[in-house]
Amino acid sequence: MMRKKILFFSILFFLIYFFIYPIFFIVYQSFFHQNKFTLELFKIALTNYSIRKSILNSILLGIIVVITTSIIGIPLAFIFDRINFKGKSLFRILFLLPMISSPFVGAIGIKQVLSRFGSLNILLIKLNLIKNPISFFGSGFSGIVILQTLHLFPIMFLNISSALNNYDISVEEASYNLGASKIQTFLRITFPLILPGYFTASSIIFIWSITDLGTPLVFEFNQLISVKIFHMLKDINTNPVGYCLVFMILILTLPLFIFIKRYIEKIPYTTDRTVLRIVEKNLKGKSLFLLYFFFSLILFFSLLPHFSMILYSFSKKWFFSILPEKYTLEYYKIVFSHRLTKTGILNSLIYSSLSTTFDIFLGFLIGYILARWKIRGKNILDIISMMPLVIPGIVLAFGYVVTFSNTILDPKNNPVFFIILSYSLRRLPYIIRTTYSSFLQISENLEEASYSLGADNLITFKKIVFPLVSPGIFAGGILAFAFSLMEVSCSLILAIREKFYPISKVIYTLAGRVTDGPNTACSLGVLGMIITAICLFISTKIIMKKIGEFFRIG
Amino acid sequence: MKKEILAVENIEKSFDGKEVLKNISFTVYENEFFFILGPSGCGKTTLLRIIAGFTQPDRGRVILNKKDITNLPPNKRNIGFVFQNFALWPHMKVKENIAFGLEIRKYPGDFIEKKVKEILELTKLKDVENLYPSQISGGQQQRVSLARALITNPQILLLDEPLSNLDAKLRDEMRSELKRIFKETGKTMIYVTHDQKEAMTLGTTIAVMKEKEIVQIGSPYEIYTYPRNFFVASFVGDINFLKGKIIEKIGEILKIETEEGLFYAKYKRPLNSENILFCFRPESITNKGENLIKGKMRDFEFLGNLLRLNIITERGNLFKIEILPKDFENYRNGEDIVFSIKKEDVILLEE
Ligand SMILES: Nc1ncnc2c1ncn2[C@@H]1O[C@H](COP(=O)(O)OP(=O)(O)O)[C@@H](O)[C@H]1O
Ligand SMILES: [Mg+2]
Repeated sequence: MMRKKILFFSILFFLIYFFIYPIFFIVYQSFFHQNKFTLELFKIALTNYSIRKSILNSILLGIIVVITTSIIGIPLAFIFDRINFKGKSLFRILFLLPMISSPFVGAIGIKQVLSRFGSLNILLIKLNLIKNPISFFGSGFSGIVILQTLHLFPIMFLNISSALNNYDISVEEASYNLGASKIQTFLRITFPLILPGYFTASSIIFIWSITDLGTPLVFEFNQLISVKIFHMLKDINTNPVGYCLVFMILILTLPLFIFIKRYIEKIPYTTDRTVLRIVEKNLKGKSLFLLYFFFSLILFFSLLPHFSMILYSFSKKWFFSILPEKYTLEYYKIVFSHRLTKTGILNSLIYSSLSTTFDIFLGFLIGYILARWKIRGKNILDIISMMPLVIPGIVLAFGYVVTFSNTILDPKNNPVFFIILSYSLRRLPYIIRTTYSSFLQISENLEEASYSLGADNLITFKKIVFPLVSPGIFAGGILAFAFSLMEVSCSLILAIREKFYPISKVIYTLAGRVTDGPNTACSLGVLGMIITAICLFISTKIIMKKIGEFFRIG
Repeated sequence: MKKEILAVENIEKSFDGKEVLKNISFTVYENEFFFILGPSGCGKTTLLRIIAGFTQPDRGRVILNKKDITNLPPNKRNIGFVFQNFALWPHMKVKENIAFGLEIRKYPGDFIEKKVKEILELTKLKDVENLYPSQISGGQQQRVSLARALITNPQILLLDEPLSNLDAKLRDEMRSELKRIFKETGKTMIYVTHDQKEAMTLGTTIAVMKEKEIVQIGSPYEIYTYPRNFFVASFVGDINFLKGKIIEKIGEILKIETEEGLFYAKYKRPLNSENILFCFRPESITNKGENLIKGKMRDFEFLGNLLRLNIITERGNLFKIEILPKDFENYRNGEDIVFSIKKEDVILLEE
C-alpha cells in the first residue's frame, strides 16, 4: 500500500509541477505585478484596438468554423447512418483523410491554387468567366476559415456518427409508433440524443480553431490572439500583456472541459454491444449519382490542399499557369540532403519517439490506476490527466517558456525536454482513455485467475495484463507518434534555435523563404503526410484485428 | 475421523457499510463436495473470494490444513478457483491456459506436457487444445476453466456458479460431467450455486445461505427431510405449509389445531412458541390414516412418473400432492380427494 501511495503521489506531483503550475503561473502573472493585484494588463489589452480586434476575430473564427464544419459534417454523418450505397466504407475512409496533415502545410500548397494569381483565377480568366482575379482569401481570414474547415469537418463527422451509433434505432421507431412525425421525432428524440456528441465535437473544433498558430502564420494574418501571443513571447519581460491574452484563451477553453470530459466518460467501453441498426434505405440510379456528386465535391475541396501541396512539391516552374510547367524530384533530394531539413527530420523522429515512449509508460500507469486502484485522490488524477484536452499547445508552450526561464530547465537554452514533454502531455488523455477502457473490458477475474494459480504481480502483469491491453496501447502509441511528428504550436514556440527545429518549424521557416523554399516545404510536408498515413493505417489494422480477435465470442 | 481441509470461522464482511456476510462458520472435510446454496445477492461470491484471498474479511479467519491463511495473498494459497464467467485468457490457446499454473511453478516442459495431456483427456478437450477460448463452445470453455484450476492439484477447489452461464441442456450434461470429474479426481470442493437441483444432485454437504447468513448445514437428505425453517423448506424442493397452534403434548406426540382440523405430529426438538408452522412434502402422503385433508382437485399435471395434483380445500387452502398415477382411484372419494400425512412426515418449523 505504501509503495502504491508513493507512486501515485509522484505521478500527481509530476503532473502538477509540469502541467498545472505553468498554467497557474500565467494566471498569476496576468493579475499580479510585483506581487500586487492589478487589472492593469487587462486594461492595456482591452483598450488596444489591435488586441481587441484580435480577440473578436479569434472568437468569430472559432464560431464560423464550428458552423461550417457542422454544415458539412452533420449531413454526412446522417447519410452514412441512414442510407446504404455502394462504396460506403471506402468513402468513410476518404472522408477521414483531410485530418492526416495539418492545415498549415496544406495552406502553403493551396495558396498556389487559390491566390490572386493562382491556378483557379488563371483558369477562370482564360475561360473568360472573370476579368479581374478574385481574392478568395481576402485579408487571409477567409483562407484560415477554409483551411480549418477542410481539416476539421471529419471531427464533426466522426462524433456525430458515433453519437448516432450509440443508440438503438428502435427509440425512434417507438416515437413513430406513438404517432410522432419525422420532425417531432427528430426534435424530441434524435436531437437530444446526439446533442452531447455535438457539443463535444464543437468544443474540440472551437478550441482547435482559435488556438491554431500555423495556418494564420502562413496566411500572414496577424489579427488573432494566437498570433499575438506568439509574437509577444519574445519580449514578455518588458511587455507582459501576453499573459493576459493567454489567460483569455484559458477562459474560452477551460469551461468546455466539462462537456468534453463528461462526454468521453460516457463512451461505452465494451466492444460487444449489439445495438440494432438495420439500414434499409438503398440508393440507386439518379439519387445515387447525386450523392456521389455531392461526395466528390466535398472530397475535391477537402483534399485540394493536399493535392496542391503534392503538385507543388514536384513543380519546377509554377507561375501564372494553371498547372506547373515542369516537374522535378529536386526538392525531395534537397529534403534528404539539406542540413536544415535533415536536422528537422532527425529531431522530429527523436522527439516523437521519446514522447511516445513516455506517453505509453505514463498513460498505461495512469489508466491502470484509474481502472483498478482504490485510492484517495484518484479523482484529482483523473481530472488533471484529462485536462490537456482543453489546454492548447500555445498555452502549454507559453507556460513553459515563462515559468522555467532562468532555471536549469530553461527552454531558451535547450528546449528538448519541454518539447518532448509538451508532445506527450497533449496526447496523454487519449492514451489514458485507451488503457483505461482496455482495462475495463478485461474482467478483473482474468487477473485473479492468474493469482489463484500461484502467479505473482509481476508474472500476472507480464503474461495476462500486458498482452491483453498492449494492442490498444500500441495502436494509440502509433497515433501519438504520428501526431507528434507533425505537431505545430508547441514546436513553433519552443524550438528557437535551428539545431532544435522539428519538421513543422522547418516547414514554416522554408515556406517563408523566397525561391525554392515553399517547394521544399511542401516536399517535407508530403513526407510527413505519408508517414502519418502509414501510422494511421497500421494502427487501425492493429485495433481491428487484434482486439477484434480477443473479444469475439463464438 | 475425517480430515479437516478448510475451516471458515466467524467471517464478517461489509461493503461501504452494507453488511454482506455475517458470522459465517463452517468446516469442509477431505473429499467433500461442499455446496453453498442461496439466492443471488446473498453473499456467496463474496464468501468464495474471501476464501480464495481476493477479498479481505472484516473479521474472522480462514484456516487451510490447520494453518491460518487469512492474511496470505491469493497466489500463495494453492486454492483452485473456477470463475462464474470462466475468466479464460483470450490471448492464450486452450492448452496454454491450462498449462499456466504449472509453468508458474516452473515444472520441466515434458512434465507439463504430460500433465496437460492427462487433464485434456479427463476433461475431453483433446480436439480443441490449439484453439483460442473465443473459438470453442460454452461447455468447452467451462471445462477449460475447470482443467486450468485442477492441474496444479490444489488443496481445495472453489467453483462459483460454474453452470450458470450455460444453457439448460448443456447444464444437465455438464452436471454429470462435473460429477464424473469429481469422482475421478477425488478433489475436495466448495461449490456455490443458487440452483437447489445442482446442490441436491451433486453435493455431499449443503450449507443453505439466506441474506448474509448460513441458516442450515447438512447432507442433502437432512436438508430435504428436516429443513430448519421456512426459508430452507421452501428453497429446497416443493412443500406444503399449514399454520397451527399446539394444544397438547402427549409424550413425544403433539396435538395441533389448524384450519383443516386437528393434526398430530412427532416432536423432534424443543419449540419456543405454541404458534407454529408445519409442513409436508407433496410426495410424503398416503391415502388413509391420521391427519386427513379433504379437498377438490383444481388441476393436475404429469411429472415424469408421478402425477401432481393441486388440491383446494373448503377453507381455501392450496396443497400439492404427488402420487403414482395408478393410485389415483385410491384417493378419490366421490367428488373429493382425500389424503393423509403420517405423524413422522410432518415437519415442524421454527418461526
Ligand atoms: N466489491 C463490492 N463492493 C460493494 N458491494 C459489493 C461488492 N461485491 C459484492 N457486493 C454486494 O454484496 C452483496 C453480495 O454479493 P455477492 O457475494 O456477489 O452475492 P452472490 O454471489 O450470492 O450473488 C450484493 O448485494 C452485492 O451488491
Ligand atoms: Mg455470485
